[in-house]
Amino acid sequence: MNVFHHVRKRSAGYARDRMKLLLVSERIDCSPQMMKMLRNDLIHTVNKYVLIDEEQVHLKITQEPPVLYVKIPVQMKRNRLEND
Amino acid sequence: MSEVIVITSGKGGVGKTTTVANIGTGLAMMGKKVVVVDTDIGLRNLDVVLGLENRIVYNLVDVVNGSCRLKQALIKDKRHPELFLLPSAQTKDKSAVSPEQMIKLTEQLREDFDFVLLDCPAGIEQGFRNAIAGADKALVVTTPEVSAIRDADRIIGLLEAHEIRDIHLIINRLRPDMIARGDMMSVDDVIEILAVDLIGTLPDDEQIVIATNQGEPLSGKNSKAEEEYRNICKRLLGEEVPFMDIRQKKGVFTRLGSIFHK
Repeated sequence: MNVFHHVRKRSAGYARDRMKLLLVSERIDCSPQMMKMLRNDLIHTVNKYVLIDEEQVHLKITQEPPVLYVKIPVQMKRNRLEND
Repeated sequence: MSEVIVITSGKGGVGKTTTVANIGTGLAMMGKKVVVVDTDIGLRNLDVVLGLENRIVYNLVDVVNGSCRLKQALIKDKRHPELFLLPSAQTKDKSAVSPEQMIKLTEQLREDFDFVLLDCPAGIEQGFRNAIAGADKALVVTTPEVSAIRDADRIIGLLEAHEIRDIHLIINRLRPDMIARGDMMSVDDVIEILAVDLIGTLPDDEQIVIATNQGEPLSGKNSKAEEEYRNICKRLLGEEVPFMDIRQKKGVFTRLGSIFHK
């Protein structure tokens, strides 16, 4: 469910995040489940070409204008060498 | 120049009828000639909220069918000489009227009134389509609850699909204490989710229940909700009125409490 990675303790924040996700998916006729599949497919596709930080992939849909933003942090070669 | 405004919500029980009664009364008190129309055929309610239930002779369906003239069905509110009610039928159902007939009716009302306020039934079926058919603009009433917000979003989409783009939001039954402790969505949260212009923020106020019991909207003296209903009327008349601060003034103990909470 964590397409929008907000973490809030109180119930109002939880309600707000659920509503944002639900209404955006209803407006574009794409269920949260399909959003999750889209996210996985994007990771899979991009991963074929560049190394990415999967945990930090972030999908966001704005309302006006309706635009899908995808943030995919890539890993630098230098960092990879250090990690390996 | 007259305006036809539909008050709608999708979900039932969020305060549409109360809003129509209060805004209608408020505008009439400000000297505008107002007619409030109950479009909920089969479930009429606006008459009781206004305290006019004993004066109904003819109704909306009679007018549309040609069983009576429009003037015969309009009930004049004796307390507010500029306020009129066109009641709904209690015996018919929603298919008794068509959107085309509603457009004709609103055009007729437009000639005699400054404001035509349409009280829309809950739901998105024919009753809703009838109510919005002749409207220039819409006021969408919601509460800060997930069910009401989801329905409001659906309604906003349907209004836009029917070429009604002048849409304003009224957020009803706000509880400042619950918002302060983070257990109710705030005005800003709701606006961010629904992305429409705000025209009113109403606190949950027992004075509204009392006024409805008595069938006398805007009868109270110092009620916050009634003051805000008057502000909505002023905003409809083009006046810029700042929104009241819905956050409750915190006492010493609440402040201490919120410090410890963090």
